[in-house]
Amino acid sequence: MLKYIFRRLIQMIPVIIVISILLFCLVKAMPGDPVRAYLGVNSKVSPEIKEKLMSDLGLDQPMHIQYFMWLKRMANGDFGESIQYKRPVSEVVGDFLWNTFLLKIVVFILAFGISIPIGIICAVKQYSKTDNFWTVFSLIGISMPSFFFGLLLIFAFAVNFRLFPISGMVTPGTDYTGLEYVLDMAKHMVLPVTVLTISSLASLVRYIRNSMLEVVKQDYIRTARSKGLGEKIVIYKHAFRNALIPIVTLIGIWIPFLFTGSVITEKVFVWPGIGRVLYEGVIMRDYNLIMTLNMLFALLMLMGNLLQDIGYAIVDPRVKVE
Amino acid sequence: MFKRSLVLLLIFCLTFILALSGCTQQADNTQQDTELAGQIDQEGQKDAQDVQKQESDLTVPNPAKTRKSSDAFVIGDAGGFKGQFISSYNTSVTDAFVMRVCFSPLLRYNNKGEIENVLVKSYNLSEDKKTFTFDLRDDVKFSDGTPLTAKDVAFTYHILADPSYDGRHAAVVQDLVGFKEYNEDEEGKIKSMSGIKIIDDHTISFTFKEALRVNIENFVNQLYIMPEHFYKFEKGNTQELKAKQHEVLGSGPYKLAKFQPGQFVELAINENYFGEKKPQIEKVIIKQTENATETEELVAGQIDMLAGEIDPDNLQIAKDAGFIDFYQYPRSGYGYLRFNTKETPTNDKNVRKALVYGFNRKAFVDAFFKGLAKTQDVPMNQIAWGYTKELQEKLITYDYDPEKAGSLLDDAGWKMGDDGFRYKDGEKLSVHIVSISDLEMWEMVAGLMSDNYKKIGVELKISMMDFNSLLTKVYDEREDFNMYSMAVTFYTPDPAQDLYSRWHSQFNLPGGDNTAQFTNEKNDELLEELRKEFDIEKAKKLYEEWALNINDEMPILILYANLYTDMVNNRVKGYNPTAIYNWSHDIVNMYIEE
Repeated sequence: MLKYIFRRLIQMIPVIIVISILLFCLVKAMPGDPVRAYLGVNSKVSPEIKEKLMSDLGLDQPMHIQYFMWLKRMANGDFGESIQYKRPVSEVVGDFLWNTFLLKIVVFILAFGISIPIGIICAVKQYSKTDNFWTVFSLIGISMPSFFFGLLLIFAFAVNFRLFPISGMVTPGTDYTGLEYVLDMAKHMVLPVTVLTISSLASLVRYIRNSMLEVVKQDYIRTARSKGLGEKIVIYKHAFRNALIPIVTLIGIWIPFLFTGSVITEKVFVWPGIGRVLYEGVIMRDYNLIMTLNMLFALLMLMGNLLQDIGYAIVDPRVKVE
Repeated sequence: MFKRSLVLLLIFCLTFILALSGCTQQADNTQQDTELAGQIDQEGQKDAQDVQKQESDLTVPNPAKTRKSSDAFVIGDAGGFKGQFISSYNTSVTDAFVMRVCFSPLLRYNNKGEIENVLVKSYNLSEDKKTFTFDLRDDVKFSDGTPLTAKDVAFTYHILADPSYDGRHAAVVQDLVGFKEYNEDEEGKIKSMSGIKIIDDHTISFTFKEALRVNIENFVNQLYIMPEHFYKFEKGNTQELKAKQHEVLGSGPYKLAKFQPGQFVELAINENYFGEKKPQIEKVIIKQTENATETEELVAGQIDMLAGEIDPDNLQIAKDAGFIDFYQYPRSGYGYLRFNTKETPTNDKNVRKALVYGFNRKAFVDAFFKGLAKTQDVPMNQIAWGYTKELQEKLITYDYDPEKAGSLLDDAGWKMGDDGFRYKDGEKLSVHIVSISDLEMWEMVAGLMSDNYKKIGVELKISMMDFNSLLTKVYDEREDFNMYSMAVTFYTPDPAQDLYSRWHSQFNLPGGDNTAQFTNEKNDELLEELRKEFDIEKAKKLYEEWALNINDEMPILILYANLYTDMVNNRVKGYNPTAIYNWSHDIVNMYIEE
């Protein structure tokens, strides 16, 4: 197993290099330049100074040289300086990444915690009232734009009923500590977590229901039933274990999402996450910031794939890794 | 071809939707509109320093009084922190609030638009009008108790000239004597700029290369003095300084207590503050908000203030709450569409004039700002002292007049064809506008404009792009467009700000600010004289001459010059803002009423 993981990790290196070349080209292909964006309109800074800024950033070099310069820095663990923040990218993104992770891990737990049992129930009682309810719910959840949904929740629960704060992550100026601080943050999390959970719940329920349905129709389930096993044992022991395989795929896909921000939800609730930072980075053509974050997401995606494969090996005895 | 028809279709849909939505909204808000519009007509922009105050009812229940953090004054801001609180690297408007209350400049503008001493006792200008000598106060201490001396002032100004400086404010020092030598010396042999002289602990002089009236601007609200002992770095190594951008040690009324990136900044009183008037509010918090919900936060009492509101609907929400005071003042700036004066057909002055006459700006302003804005016919800051009543009376006013637009186009040789468009030498009269995408305001302009221009036989092509691409297009490429849209804000009541770089032909080069590519001899001469004239009355005359000239050349279509409204919870009093004097300038005068 360890050998397998090691081999997979080695295989990742060329993939990452190809991804980085593609990303680098795409980022540089955007029209506009970061120095102009940083200096702004009517900066009155003389052209010589502008040129100097460009050459200090290495932006006057040909593309391939810029790429190798970037690669060299990355290899040494230096992600470069953010053009707009004037600080190392790693310092800039640190806090924001963890804020996003905090929000997403709660959503992750809730979404899977709720959708797995519901998906199973819907599959077992296909076309029942419960099943129909969740079908409709899923359709609404998938088609509801998160911006609109977020505002709707804010106006209902924060403005009218005053149950939750309108925005932010903690109440400024309160100096809470310990449990009070956690409760304050939890209050701020309720609405954004609701929006993100409902929108992901919708597709997860459908996915789990369908994979469960396929399993339930298998011959061995019929066999299990006909030999007189109780319904519970049939579903949870025989069917569920097999339905887990597609769920492992889902979890693998979800891993990078734990760190990628949701720009719109974060914006509506003023959640200090990475989505907004990345969005502004793109607007400002902050190359180092965009590259670092996108490479990180690519890496997480690859790691997610690896974990998926390991997960298959655990839940599916037919899969053998060597 | 497909793209163009798609754009046209889009515009058509937009116009249709706008026409519909315009109807219903107007019906709803008629009373409020006339009320607000009335205010401008009566007083409004005639006296720019005049602020309209609307006080609310103190007896209305106020949720801010009972919230947990009611001892704090919380300002909502949708901008965003970058954590650059020191003036050499400050770029964001939100960070600038923190900078202004935590540090002090040499001079500043007060709320009458006059220059006021802050860190200096007095200053004088030499015979040749090139050297400023500042006599600093000797009782100023930074928040850690160390005294502020001329060395700190020199240090702050030298940062911007450092060879490794990569911030955006180099323009403040680039006209000082010795800048070039100091800036190009990478080895660190030259220890200081020859134009900055420390005479004694509390006297410092600055010498400029040229004697210009506008030189003084480099000391007014420009750089906020930073203590050398805290921010010190080796010449050529601003890296050390950049690591401290988010740390604050200044001489302003407040000091930084807490900074949560992306969330808020908390400020506490600086006990060592030197000013005669001491700060009265214990805690000041600047909180990150979101445009769509910030008015609700204000009404819910979670924040106490929102500055610079322009949306009439939000103003109404705040008004209905009953406990929000309004402070309304003309914005120092305007939104515009600049012509490319080198590209056909807008290289012809008559075509430019026709395009201004042919667009119903007033209809747009009324529909979008609901009376909270005016149109303007000359690219000058509406609150600048150069924008005098006499000048305004002499200007050609380009009110909507499609017939006049038509005859101007006829004169220019563009004759109406059978298909409803004008032609000259077999070429169709077509105007290409580049603008920022996803801007609600611009969508409305585009809709009205294509409709208006169709009537005078002008075909309108619109390309929308993101802000950064637009900058590259108009600053660096400088071709393939006839007009582009943007807005500008000024920070001084001196009309000279930006005029020189925006309109002088010297800046008509790739990357230059003269993006209209405007070249006009009279204009160049006047602009050069303008900056040199120290006598304000004479300067006003020169501005008038300059304005009348550009008013006739029309290289810019000014869309709107609007009003800003600061909405403040009525438990906070003592506030007296103008467009260039906001809460962060006025904080020591403000207090919370229990």
